[in-house]
Amino acid sequence: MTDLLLRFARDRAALLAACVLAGLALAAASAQLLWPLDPEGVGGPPLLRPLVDPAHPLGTDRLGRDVLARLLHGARLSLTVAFAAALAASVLGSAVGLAAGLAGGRLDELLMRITDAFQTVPGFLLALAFVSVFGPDARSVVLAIAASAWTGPARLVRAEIASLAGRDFVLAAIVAGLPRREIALRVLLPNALPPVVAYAATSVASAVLIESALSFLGLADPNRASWGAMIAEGRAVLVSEPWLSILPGLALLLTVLAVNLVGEGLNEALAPRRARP
Amino acid sequence: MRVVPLLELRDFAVSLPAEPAPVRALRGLDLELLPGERLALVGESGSGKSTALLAIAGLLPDEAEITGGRRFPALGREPMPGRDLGLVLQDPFASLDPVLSVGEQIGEVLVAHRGARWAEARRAAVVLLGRVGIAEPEARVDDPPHRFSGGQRQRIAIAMAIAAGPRLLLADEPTSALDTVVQAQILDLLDGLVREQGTALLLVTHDLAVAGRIADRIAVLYAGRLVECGPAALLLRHPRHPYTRALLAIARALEAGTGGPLAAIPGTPPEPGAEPPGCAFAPRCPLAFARCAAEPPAWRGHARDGVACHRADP
Amino acid sequence: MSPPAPLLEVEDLTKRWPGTTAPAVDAVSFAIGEGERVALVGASGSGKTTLARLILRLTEPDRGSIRFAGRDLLALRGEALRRVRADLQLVFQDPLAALDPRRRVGAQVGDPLRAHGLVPRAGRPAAVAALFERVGLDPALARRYPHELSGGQRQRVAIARALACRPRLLLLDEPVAQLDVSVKAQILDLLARLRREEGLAWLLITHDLGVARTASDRILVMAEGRIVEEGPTAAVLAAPRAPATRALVAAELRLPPPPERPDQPLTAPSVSPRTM
Repeated sequence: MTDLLLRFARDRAALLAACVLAGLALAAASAQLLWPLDPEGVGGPPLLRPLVDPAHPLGTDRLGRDVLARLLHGARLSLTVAFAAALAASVLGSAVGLAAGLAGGRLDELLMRITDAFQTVPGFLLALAFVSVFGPDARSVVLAIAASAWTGPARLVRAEIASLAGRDFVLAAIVAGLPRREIALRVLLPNALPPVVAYAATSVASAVLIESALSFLGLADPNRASWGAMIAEGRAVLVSEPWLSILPGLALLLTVLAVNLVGEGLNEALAPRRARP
Repeated sequence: MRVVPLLELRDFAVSLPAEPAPVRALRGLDLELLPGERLALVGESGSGKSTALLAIAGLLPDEAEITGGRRFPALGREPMPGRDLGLVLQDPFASLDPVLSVGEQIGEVLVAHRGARWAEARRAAVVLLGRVGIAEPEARVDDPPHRFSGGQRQRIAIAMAIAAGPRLLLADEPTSALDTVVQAQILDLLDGLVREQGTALLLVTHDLAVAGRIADRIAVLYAGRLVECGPAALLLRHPRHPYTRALLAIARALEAGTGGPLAAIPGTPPEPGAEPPGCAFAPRCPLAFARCAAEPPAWRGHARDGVACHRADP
Repeated sequence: MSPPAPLLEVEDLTKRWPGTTAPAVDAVSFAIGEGERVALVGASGSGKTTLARLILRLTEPDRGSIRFAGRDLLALRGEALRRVRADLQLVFQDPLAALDPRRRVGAQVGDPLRAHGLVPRAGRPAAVAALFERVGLDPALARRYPHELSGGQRQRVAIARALACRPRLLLLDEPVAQLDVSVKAQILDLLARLRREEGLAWLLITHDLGVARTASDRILVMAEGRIVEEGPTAAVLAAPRAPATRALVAAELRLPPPPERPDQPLTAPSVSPRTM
């Protein structure tokens, strides 16, 4: 584990990105402490420009709500939803991929056809459908995103398991007398997971975007600040007060960039090590 | 009149990038190869033999630090891989591009280095495939590499290496991944080809029997240094350095299979960068005495035939 | 004196891989007795590795029978098959490929101990350390990953794992092919010593006739899936009869013999003021 972290740390960009993400997460978690203004409350005059009033460093929106507070609280929602969705998708997808890869035959066929079905539906539309049926709260948004994102990890795990199954060290585990369940969980799965972990980073990134899109369309919880909602609201005054959309847009950009860099760093760090000749 | 050497290395040293610090893979090699000569570079893992070959070919990564002299007097210029140098590597399954047909890969060499046009390059590729022993070359020239066995792929790699008529053929363990029957065939092929074309051969191997089969001269490496060098037949019958003697004793005992322990050399070679002062072999040498640990032995003899050992008479 | 009861008895074993026409293993029959050292030689593609996989039940034959220690090996399933693996082990050709790249080698050597419940959890680290020492490795290496060891060390680890459960029969698939000459010698010496201590029998697959001579008493020659010659190793290799055997012997590269009168042992250089 420690050498994994050390290898990750060698990639400067990934390390920086990880710090940025950690910083964002921390800021989101302690939003109330950092900037104790109510994101939903009317705290000042509407459409105040950024850097004018020290009480509202990033200005206020059309309703007079503090932009910085909304950014921080919005971060909490966006990041929580995104990571939860990516985690759910990875766990569900890995389980399906493992089952398919190990079982082979008819079960494998069945599971892969189901995966195909889910994969053909564009993720965003599936999320839309979900949210329309189950309501716009955070939990259904997480499920909605996971519902289409699980197919990626499923395919990855299944492909890895298929390629690993014939490898010498798996045969060696069988010869060593390890029971099947243990071979699946201790030998196959850890070797099949690295691409999933790296892929999870992409999942997080796209989850953030889907969540923002949903709230942009007004399909997320209207009572909670979120970056997508902020961008949506800023649309009406885009020409005169562009910062209302640009600032959350930048936050989004930063998050997605950081997540992608961390994902690449993880991929590098988890890559199978080269041996000496 | 003294023949101008094809390759000359003087105090040649190579440091390779590594964590935490660069390692010295080669520590001062003096070597000479005449045109048409066949030299085997023999050593075990970590001796630096593959690094030497790659350095001669100019194929080390840019971060590698190279000191000392590397010259090609008979060429008069820096050699161009493919044209002046042919390269055959160990793994027949990795050395060919899986996407291109074998004819295209051989043809590429001719187009790039002999200015041939594709049509004549393809014809020449068919001829070369036949020359290296691929049956029905006309039918197989458009096949991709995966349709060939390991031994056949190695033959194709050899065809690519000699296609442009290089003066020097470099081979890194070309038969280690092949079984003995195929190994014998490939060595026969190499032997015939280099004789026929007057190509010089530098073959890296850990197998003394392979060296004995195909080389005029053998150079033995240990821990990045040359410990002995001389005519092949003579060196294999009258080795002078204790390491060479020990290796030959083991190889002969293994071959004969006569019972009893195999007189294995105790210990292991030093890690690159962690060589002891004095002679690197001293900790494992049955003949070591005080001077061996303190002072690296000087080369006794001349560049083409000699030994580095405090105990040996040249 | 009657021959020892066979430890392994293979009869009419046949396997054809799907998608191929000729069988990889074709009606092979042979036996290995307790403590016997048998070599299986042949060119690549002769079926040696398939035969090893069949014996280990890593793949199923189309026809034939395998009896191990008196039991029908092909009739065993599930748990019973898993249990018999303690007695029948394999050392793979490429030790790097045979070790899980993501686990420390000590844990992997401990796998058979754990799987067969031979040593309670508390005693396992000591048992693994003891195994490392038996194969000539520093027990501290148990914490390393496979890619952090040399080829010879990895093969010793593989041997330690194979011997953890004190098997009665060891299959070795080209165990020293990828190793340097001096390391080959060390590993073969190690195997010989362990065999003396454990009373092991082995089936050693190799294409190197020298290794066969060194590490076996009896030899089976395989070609195109069939056993074409069989007999005491030295005799068969000295006077091969089957064409495949002859081809193998003819292809063998031999070193020139040493001089009849051995060279003078290297002497201390003459002591003179100049050389001091």
